[in-house]
Parts: sequence; C-alpha cells; structure tokens
Amino acid sequence: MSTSGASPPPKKRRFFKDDDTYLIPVDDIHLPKKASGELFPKNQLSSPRESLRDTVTSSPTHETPISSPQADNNVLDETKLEVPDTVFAEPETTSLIDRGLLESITGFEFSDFDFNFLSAICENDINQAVNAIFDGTYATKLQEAKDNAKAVNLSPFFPSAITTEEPRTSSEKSEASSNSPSEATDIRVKNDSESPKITSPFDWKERYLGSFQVEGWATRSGYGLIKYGDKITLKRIARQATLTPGSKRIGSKIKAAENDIMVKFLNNRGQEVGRLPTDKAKFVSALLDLKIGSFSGSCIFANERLATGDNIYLQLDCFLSRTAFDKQDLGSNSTHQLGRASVFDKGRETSDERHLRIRHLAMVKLFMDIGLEPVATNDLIKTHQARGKLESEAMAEQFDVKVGSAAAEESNTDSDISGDDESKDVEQDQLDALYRKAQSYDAGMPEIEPGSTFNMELRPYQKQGLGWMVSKETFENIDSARKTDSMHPLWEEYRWPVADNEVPAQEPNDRFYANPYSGELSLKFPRMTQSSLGGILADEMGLGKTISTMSLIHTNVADASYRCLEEKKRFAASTTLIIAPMSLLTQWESEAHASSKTGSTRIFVYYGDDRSVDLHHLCLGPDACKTPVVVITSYGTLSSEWQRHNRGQVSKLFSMHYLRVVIDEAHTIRNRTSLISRSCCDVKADRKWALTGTPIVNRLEDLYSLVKFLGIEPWNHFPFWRTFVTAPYDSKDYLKALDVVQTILEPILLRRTKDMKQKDGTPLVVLPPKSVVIENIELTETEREVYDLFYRRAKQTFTNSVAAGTVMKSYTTIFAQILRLRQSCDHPALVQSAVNSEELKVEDDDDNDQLSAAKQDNGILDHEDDVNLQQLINKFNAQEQEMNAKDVYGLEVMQQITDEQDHECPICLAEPIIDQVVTSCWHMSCRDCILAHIRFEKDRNQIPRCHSCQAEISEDNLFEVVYHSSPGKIKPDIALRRYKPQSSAKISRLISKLKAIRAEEPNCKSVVFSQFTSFLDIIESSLKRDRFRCLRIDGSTTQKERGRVLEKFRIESGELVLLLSLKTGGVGLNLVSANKAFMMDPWWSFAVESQAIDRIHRMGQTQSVSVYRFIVRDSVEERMLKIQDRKKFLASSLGMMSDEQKKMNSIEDMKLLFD
Amino acid sequence: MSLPKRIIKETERLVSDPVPGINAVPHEENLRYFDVTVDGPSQSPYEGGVFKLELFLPEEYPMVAPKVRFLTKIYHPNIDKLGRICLDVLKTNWSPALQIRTILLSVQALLGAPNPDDPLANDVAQRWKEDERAAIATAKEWTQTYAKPEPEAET
Repeated sequence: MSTSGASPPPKKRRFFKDDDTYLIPVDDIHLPKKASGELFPKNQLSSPRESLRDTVTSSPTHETPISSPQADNNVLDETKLEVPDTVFAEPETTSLIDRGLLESITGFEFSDFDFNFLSAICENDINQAVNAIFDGTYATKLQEAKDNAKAVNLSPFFPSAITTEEPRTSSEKSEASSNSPSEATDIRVKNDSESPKITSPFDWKERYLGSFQVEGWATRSGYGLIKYGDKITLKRIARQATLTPGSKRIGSKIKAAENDIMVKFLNNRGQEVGRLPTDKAKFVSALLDLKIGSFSGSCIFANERLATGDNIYLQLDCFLSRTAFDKQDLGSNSTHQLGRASVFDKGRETSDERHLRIRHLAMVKLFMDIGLEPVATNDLIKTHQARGKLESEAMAEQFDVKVGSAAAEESNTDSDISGDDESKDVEQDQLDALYRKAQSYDAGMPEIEPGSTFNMELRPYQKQGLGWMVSKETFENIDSARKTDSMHPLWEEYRWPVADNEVPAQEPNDRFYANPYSGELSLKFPRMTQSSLGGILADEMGLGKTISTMSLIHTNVADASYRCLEEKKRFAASTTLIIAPMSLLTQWESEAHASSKTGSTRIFVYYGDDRSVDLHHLCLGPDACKTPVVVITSYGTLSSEWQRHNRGQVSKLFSMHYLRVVIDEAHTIRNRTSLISRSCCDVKADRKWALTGTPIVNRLEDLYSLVKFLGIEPWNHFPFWRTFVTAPYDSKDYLKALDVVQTILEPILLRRTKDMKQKDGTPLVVLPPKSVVIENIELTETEREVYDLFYRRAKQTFTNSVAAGTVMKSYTTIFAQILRLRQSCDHPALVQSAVNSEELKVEDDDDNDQLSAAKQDNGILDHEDDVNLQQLINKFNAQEQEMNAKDVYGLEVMQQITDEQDHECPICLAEPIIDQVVTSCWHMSCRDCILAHIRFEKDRNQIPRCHSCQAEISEDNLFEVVYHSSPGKIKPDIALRRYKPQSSAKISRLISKLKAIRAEEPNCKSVVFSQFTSFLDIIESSLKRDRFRCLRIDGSTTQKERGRVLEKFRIESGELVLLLSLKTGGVGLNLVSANKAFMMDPWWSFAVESQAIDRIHRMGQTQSVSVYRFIVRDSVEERMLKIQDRKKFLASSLGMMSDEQKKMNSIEDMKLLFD
Repeated sequence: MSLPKRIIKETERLVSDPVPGINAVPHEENLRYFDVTVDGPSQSPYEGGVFKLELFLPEEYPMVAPKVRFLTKIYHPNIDKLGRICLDVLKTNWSPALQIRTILLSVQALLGAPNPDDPLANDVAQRWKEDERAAIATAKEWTQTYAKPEPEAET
C-alpha cells in the first residue's frame, strides 16, 4: 500500500489490527506501523537509513516536517496512537511466522536459533512474535531458557529498541533519540542499525524509572486540544534548523544545545500544545539529548479551552535507556576513575567533562523529581550527598560560566534548597557526632602485644595503636568484611520501580546503581574498591610514632601465603620501606635497631654512598635471612630515583613492590604537585602508612596528598577532593569542608594527643613540667639605630603600597624588609648581606622566597642614609681574628697579662677581671668596664682615653684575652682576639643566661634555635669565646655528620650547647638530653616554635624544661607575638587557610607590625 | 639605687687601709657623700692645718670624677672662695681608674704645690705671682685662723 495521503490517520491504531489493510505479501514486506500506512519493501529495510529517507521522500507530508508542525505530529501521532492500545498480547492474525516479514518489521536479522526460539514461544504467531520482541517477553523467555539450559551460545540478537514498557513508549524514545522523522517502526529499525548487535539477551533498551508531574504551559490556544488522559509526546527543539519530529542533537552538538533546553509537548494528534517549564525542560532536554532517558506522558489536567500560557498538568514517565548504563558512554570508563583527574587537575573542563556535568546535573534532578530513593546507600556519604552532589555542579558551573547554562544554575538552586530542607538536621547531628568522634580517642581500644622480636616495652596506648594499625592492615582478611561486599561509598543502590501498567519483572536484576556525584549509572554492583591497607598515624609528637611503626613491623610480618601480586618476582614480601627526611634517617636507624632483638631484623639505610648495594637483589633474593626487613631512605633519594625511574632508567627503589611503605613526617609531601609527593605516591606497596604529627599544616589540601598516597578511594581523585573539600572551603563553608574531611579521615586516621587519658584516667604521657619564659631584650643603641633605619624604611614601603593599593604586588618586597627587621633584632651583622647584596643565609622554603625578594630589594638601599647604615653595620663586622698574643706584644707583656689576670679591674675593682680585655696600650680591665668608659666618653664627645695612661683608645682596638686550656698544661695558652665591637643584645643575654645556668646546673645541656644560620654563626663564635662547648646542626650538615653530632650530644656528659636552625632542628629530632631551650627569634606561627620546643619536651625527658624566648622589646618581634596569638586563634577556629587567605592574613599581620 | 660594688669597695678600703693625713667618711644617710679632712702637707703654707672637704660621687661615677669642694676657708690660687678646686684630674684628666683615695691625694698634693699659672681664684693667683712671700704668709695666717685642728680630734 502506499501512503494514503498527507494527513495523518485520524485515529490510533494497533500494530496489527488493520492487518488486512496493511498486510503485504511476503516478498513485499510491510512495516507494522500502519499509522501512516506505509509499507517498506524488505530490500529497503536492509538499510534503515536509506529506507527512512525513502520514506520521507515518498511521503510528501513528511518532507517539510520542520516548517509544519502538523507533519511532525503525523509521525508522532502514530507513535503515540499505538501506545494506548498496548494490547499486543492478543494477536489477531495467526500464521506461521514469516521470517522475512518479522525481520523487516523489527529491523533485526534473526539467527536460526533466535528465530526458532521465537517461533516456539510465540506459537508461530507473527504478531505475538513482534510483540514478544518489543515487550520484552522474548528477552525474558530467552533468559529463562538460557538460565535453564546454560546455553552459552545464544545468538546475540536482541532488538535493542525493545523495552519492558509498552511499545509506544519505546517508539517515543526512539523518536527522541532518532534523527530522522519517520514512523516509530522506522526509528526502531534505525536505532538497531545504529547500535550494533547487543551482546546479551538480557539487555533491554529502556526501562521505566519513575514518573513525575509537570506543570507545562500552553503555547497555543484552542478548544479541546488536550484533555485528561491524553497521551502526550515530548519533542526536543534543537536550535539548529534540522528540526524533524522528535529530532535531537547529540554528540558534538551538545555544547551548542546546552543553552537550548526547550522541550515541547504534543498532543495525541501531534499538535504542539505547550512546553515544559524551564526547570524541568532543562534536565529533560539533557536526558533526551544525551540519550540517557526518554519520556512518555499523559495529561492530568488541562482547561478544556486552552489559552496560551495556561497551565497544563502532565505526568511524565521516565525511562532510562540501556546505553545510559554503558560505561563507555561518556568516556567514563571506570567507576573509580571518574575523575579524568589529570584534566581536572589542570582546571579545564573538557567537552567530555561538560557532558558528564550536564548529565550529572540532569540525573540528580531527575532522581529528585521522581522521588526515587536509594534502597541502599553508604552512610558515610549520606550526610553530604544531598548538598554535596549539587554543589559539585555549582562548582562545575563556575568553571565554565560562559557556556554554563543559566538554567542549570537555577536548578542547582532549587535542588539545593530542597536538599537542605531534608538533611539539615541530620547533618548537624552527624557533624557533631563526627567531631566528638574525632576528638575522643577511644580509651577502650583493644591492645595487642607486639611480636616476639620486638625489643621494647610498649605503653598501653601504644599497644592500642598497634592493634589499630594491625587491624588496618588486615582489613581485607576479615571475613565479615568480605561477605558484606560493601558498596562503593559514592554509589547508591536503587530498585527498578514498576510502572503502573507493567508486570513486575521477574528477572533478578531488579536493581541498578547510581552515583549521585557523577551522574553515572551502573547495572553492576559497584564494589568498594579496597584502598591500600594502612592509614595515617597522627599521634602528637613525642607519643612514639616511630616505635609504634617498628612494633607494627615486628608484629605484622609478611604473610607468606598472601600473594596478591601477579608479579611475585617484584614483591618484596617482608620488606618495609621507610621514607623519612634526611635529618631523621639516623634516628630511624638507631630506633629500628634499638627496638629489635639482636639479629632479628635486618635494617638497611639506602642513602648516599650506600646506594651502590643491590637493593633489589637483597630484598628479592633467595636468601631470606639477608633480606632487609626495614629499608630506610630519604625523600630526596626517593624523588631522585623516581625521576630516573621516569626516564626509563633502572631505579632500585622503584623496582619493587613492598610489603609496606611508611612515610615519616608525612606532611613533607603535602604539596601534591611536588616531586616528592608524586614520587611517594608512586611507590608500590600493599600497605601504606603516613606518620605525621601535623596532618594539616595550613591547608586542607595538605591532607589530600596523604589521601592520595594512601590511595583512599575515591578521595584520591582530586576532582572529588576539590568538589567536596576545596569548593565548600573556598566558599567559606568551613564546617562542611571539615566535616567531609573528618569523614574521610575517621576510618584511616588515629590521633592521640598528649593530654588524652588512658583507661585508668591517667594521661597518656606525663612529661615533666615545662616553663616558657619570654626574655625581653633591650637593643643596644647602635642596634637600635640600625633597627630604626630598617623599620622606617619598611614602614614607608608598606604605607606607600597601602596608599597605592599595591600591597599584594609588593608583598614580597615588604616581606623582605620585614625579614631584615627581624634579622636586625638578632644581630645587625645579619643585614650586612642585604646591604652587600650577598646571599642571605636563610634556610626554610618560605624564607627562600624572602631571600630572592631581598635580593631584588637591594636596590632600595641607595638612600642617602646608606652610608650611615653601612657604617653602622660595619661596626658589627670587624673581622674576628685570633692572634697569638706573643706575636702582638711579646713575651713580657704576655707574662704581665698572665700575671694580671688575677688582678682587679682598675675601673670596677672587680677581682679577678671579668672578661679581660687589653687595650692597645697594654692596659687591662673588664670588657664591660672599658666599653662603658669608652661609650661614656664618646657620648660626651670626648676622645676615649686609656684609664691608665690616657692614651687614646677605641672599641676597635681592644683585645679579648682567650684562654685555651689544654689537658696537659698547667698554664693555659693565651690568645688575644680582637674584640668585636658590637655584639648584639641577644647574644649578650644568651651568654649571660648560659653562664648563669653554668653556675647553677654545671652539666646542663642546652639547645639554641634560630631561623638564621648566619646568626647561628655569630652565636657559635661568641659561645666559643666564652668557652662553651658547642655542637651545631643546620641545613648544610651532612647526614652522617648529623648522626654523629646527635650521638655526641646525647652521650657526652657535661655542659653542652647545641645550635640548631629552626627548620632543620624543629622536626623529628629527639633531644631529651637537654632541658633548656633558647628560641633566639620568634617565628610567625608559634606552632613551629612549639614543635621545636617539643624536641626536648617529649617522651623520655626526665627533667623539668625551661624555654627562653628572646624577644626584643618594642620591635617587630613583640608584634609577632601578637600575630602568633591571633594565629593560634585562627588555627583553632578554622584550621587552615587558602593561599590567598594566607596572603590576606599576612597583610593583616603586616598592618599589625606597622601599627 | 643600690650602691655600685666599686664604691662599696673603695669605702671599705678607705677604712681598712687609710691614707695618712687623709680621712674620708661617708654619710650614713647618703653613702655617696663623704666628709673629708685633709692635713696640710708639711713644708707648705698649710702645714698644721686640717682642711675639711666634702666629696660627692655622682651617679655616673666612676665614669666621671667625684665632686670635691673645700669647706674650710683656704688661701690658695687654685681654690676659690667657694672652695671649688681647679685640678686636672677632677676635670679633663679624670680617668675611671682613679679613685677617691687618689683624688684626695691629688688634692693634698695641690696644697703642697700651688699653681698660680692656672688660677681659679684670680686675686690670690695675682698676689701669689706678685708677692709670693706675702701670699704665703696670708695662707699660713688663714690656715691658723680657719684650719685649726678640732680639739676633739686631738684628744
């Protein structure tokens, strides 16, 4: 039959009702759709696209479908029309199935098997067969058969257009997803040919998900356009002119379509009646465009007489298409790698990501509108889900504002609100609970005893810690954990809802899974990926993280039977790799030895020259007793090997898969983009541990690196992290961000603090008392001059840039000047370098920035007062030379000096002379006396003269007498050293303090911290002058030397002073043999100082500890104390800050400084 | 303000190791203030006289010299009517190595060696230069008149 006419059939028809009309000879196959009454020859069907085209051309009515809604309607109409008559179950024609006809109808080619099977179940009724195919019966039956027979060889045939729903639905959908305007059947055919043969008969094309109501509005007026119960059809209007009925834009056009969200709906006559409201249209259009779902609907209420703009109430049934579950669909090939992390990392949104985002958005909204509740979800994320997932979109929108659709944002807002309403209270409750949980370490945690080779006594809380660590390492072996097969935390499980008119599906697969964070769907159970075993041991400093780790190594030794690796060859089954800062290698080594019974544990330090050893062979070699149980290396070694590894060269460290990897001072890797961080994350190991007392140093991102290192799914994907932590944090939603962080950390982090109580109520650790005293220092006049000079300058710069609004820009310059100020508080000679353009000896990273800024800043020093400044500073820089007094004065004078050393000072009459100095005219006195005299005279503008002979004298021409006592000699050797005219007030105070200590506690060991190694230089020489025994460790100290120095400091008895740079010495070291600490200069945050103090005030300290913080009165240092206070507050209230905030805060700090 | 160790030490030594012909005793209520007597040197116009002086140690002592003044009237070219003394070590030649003891010795020496070329009391110096004998006579006379040893001191 040919198309009877341009106008659509006036009434709905069933597929086969009018067989007589449409039936065609076998060789002249008809399409089942009679709506338009067209029949397609079989040969045409073989190429569905062509046939469609043919159809169009042969049907003039359809040729101009776009311009004529009527034409559109024709097609849709037919599709729709059939829907109500879903009664395919009653075949009207009974005949042997014509295979060719069937194929042409369905558009599938049947294998013999399929065809026979189909024939069998349909009793040779072609109608039934067609229906069976399209209503899913066939699939079901086939499945049953397969189940029964375990038939493996079922042909892959499956009519993908088939849904479990009524055919009309599927045809609708097909239309929605089809490019060509034609009858439903055609569309099916086309779809089939588009999507290759489906592999499994279980598959279906679409499935009912749920319904929701929509308040559409009429776009035309008229009478009886639509009424209750009328089926409606949705139609996407693509912006581009290729409008065809049911057409949609997909693929590369998505972007363009993003702003185009209009969805029309047509009545059962195919007339456009109205449109969906924007908020619904937004996601409906997205779902249609992305082929995720399709909709059918009916009218619930409409005015009989419609006026444009009237509301029309619709019910829409949504069907998810099978392809939406296809993981390849949007390029997200793995549930666990949704991230395309690399792309996100770069902060750019690719088109894939945009797809994902749009899809995500639509999915979330759809589920929300349908009111579909998961039957199972992960408690962990319950709290965050309602808001979190939406905010993630909000964030994504921000990334792409110009493309992002305003509509999408609106919908965010909508759902945000509703989400809030639902979950607010719960969230607050949980939040509180989480915090409680985080704060209270459970005193009732089970203790376990360490392995037999462990040679130390653990404290109860350490045994608990051990128990926790062991459990974290054996998680996978716990049976219950295996049985439950926990779901991936980001996924939710849903049950397929049953449409009103649908027979409940018998199939077992009545569930599906959705990831509300990404919008992904899955039919398979999204198994929780087991992250690496391990966790973060974040005990406060001094609670014995090292010992705990060693006990773990001894307790949880390699399970020989446990081999999860394919490459057994690479698996160092009993080796733990420990990565620590270089300064701690020695300590690790010695603790590792100390904690192991002799001979039980081989320990190997892989560092420096020792790297020549064939580590690979050692660890993997056949000789088990040679295998090192512990390999200790430094971050530096690791990252350099990593680079080598990445260049394809052989790296010993990276050639193995370890039993366990431990990173000490794990905050070292906090910058996720740093070499160190990336190389640590690349170490392969079954079990991973991060040890740090400060998991968060100043940003939440600090934690991310740890999470990534540990491989905590899914948080180790930065997009997730950013969405749930960074984004809320950046939007000032601190509590939320912290909440998420807490959730992430709770299962993987154990933190005990010193003040926690044990079971019996006693504190975990009882340390001897500690007193921290601020020593107020008055600058000497000359120092004050230097300081004032720098202060004026810095203030000037700051005020100027504040006035000019360029504080941010000149930030580094100002900072450099502040650095100078701080240095000049220590000793004016420190700023010499700034003047001389020499390098500042500054250690830590932050200061390196300052350093470079300081270098740039040297240009500033060409003010007129520079000469003055230079002179001032030069006073502090007279070269320190020691000369043999004999060379200068001859023996006679030497004799006199020796004789007179017991005489009294002619000025103060002190006996013997204190700090004997000799003038150039050979007269002696106390150093301070003669200096006081000289200054007094100078102040009166008099020429200082010798107190004895009235010869002119000057500070620069005084010599200190230095006695070098050597064991063999009775009389000490004497040397003279030119007096350094200006020592700094701080050094003077330090020395007098040390002397006082020397008098009171003769064998006391002290530690002196400064941030500036150049200041340590000066301190060192001053101390030596006063015959203090000094040791020193700074950034330039080699590893071996460090070990030697620390050992010496620990073992040697008697008075000893250890000089440490704050950055090097503030971390990790154990200096409990000392009980006095001098903090020569304050740091911006007291936490850093506090950490340094904890070097001596930690477990093992037996004496009370005194700490002296040297603060120059009325100086930048005093103000830094205020800033420290402020920071303490900030840190406790917020925890951490973003970089920008930090900068802002620093500027606030600066304001404080210059107030 | 506590007394510097040096002053205490000097005071002690003045007591424990007195200089012949010189006596210095601090006031009880102000240990920086000394009552001083100096015997006129022999073979000088002032021989036989006991001269009272006051000595005060300023705050800056020993960076600055003590303030010394004759309380007893004396006819001397380097000492004026108010008792002020013109002596280099009390002024420009002061050195912190000098002490109370050495200063008073210098004062005593000044009595034995008047220096009219560096006068403080100009009239006296003038006369000393013009008619030394008469001047010395006057000095002796003044000594007899004003610097008689106190009877108590003798007993």
